[in-house]
Amino acid sequence: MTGLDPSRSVDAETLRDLGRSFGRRPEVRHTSLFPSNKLESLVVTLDADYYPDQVDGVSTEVRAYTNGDFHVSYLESLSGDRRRCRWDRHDQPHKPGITSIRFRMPAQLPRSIGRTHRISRASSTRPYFRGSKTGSVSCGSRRPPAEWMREG
Amino acid sequence: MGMPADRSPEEFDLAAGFEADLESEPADERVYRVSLQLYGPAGVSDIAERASCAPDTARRHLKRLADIGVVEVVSESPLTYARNGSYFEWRRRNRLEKESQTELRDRLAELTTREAAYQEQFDAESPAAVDAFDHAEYDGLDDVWLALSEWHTVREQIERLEAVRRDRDSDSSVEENAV
Repeated sequence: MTGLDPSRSVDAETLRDLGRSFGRRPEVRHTSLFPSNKLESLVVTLDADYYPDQVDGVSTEVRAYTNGDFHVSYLESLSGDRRRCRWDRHDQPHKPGITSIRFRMPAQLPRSIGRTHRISRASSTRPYFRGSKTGSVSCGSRRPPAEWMREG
Repeated sequence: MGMPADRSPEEFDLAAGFEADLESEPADERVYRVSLQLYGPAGVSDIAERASCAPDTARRHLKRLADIGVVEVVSESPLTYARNGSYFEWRRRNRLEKESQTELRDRLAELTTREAAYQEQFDAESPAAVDAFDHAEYDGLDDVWLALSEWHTVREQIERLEAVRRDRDSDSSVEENAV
């Protein structure tokens, strides 16, 4: 990778700790740290029973690195169709010293079931998923916990 | 698993529950969690704020974590701490050292196969030699970065395994000489 930061390694300890915390939640079906095909990821499988019937699978993949970079993907399988939102923070390899925090929504939103995906500029550092059987999900927006942020 | 009785099963608020769980943990665990993420030096009051505890509490736990090796003192005045990467590296090697020669060999073979696949995919010797933009339209760039990052991790794991195997070889030759 061009401009790869030498201090950048997988933060296995933070991911393990996050996995334990996710594992205690009733909304989480199971967690898997570094499954064989994703050797940098904590995969958190959510309980799809909380979602509308069309949703057959929901999971989140979290990657964290020892230079403060992170990458989170939220994946939903909607009647077999996969959708993804992502949040990440990484130094831009082509602009050293410039860090970006970005949020990307899937190209097509699942309007059919009347969901909302919201994002504001200030919220893009922290993924939060809320859903209910009544069919609303938002990728929302709170102050990031200090431990997710790196200073500056 | 089951739903807590006082909550409607319709309700999904993973974020709030997660946050409440973290806040209800004892201070030493909160300081530990913040310590893991001290990727750069931070002062005691900053760490205390991030762990939602009193500075004296943070100071006490940080001292203990520094004794274990989880964090290291970066500067004395002002007193700052950072995550001690070499401790975690040592722990990883230590775990590998307990595995059998066969386990290490199998794991190394698997990682080497994986590295060969990346080399073929990107037509390059190492991830550092790849320009992500050569391999992706804008939409696919993130996936290219993630793949290169994984490749980097594969190489790191290969290096660690090889170092452990080298150490083991030199240990056994020392033993042979001693006999």
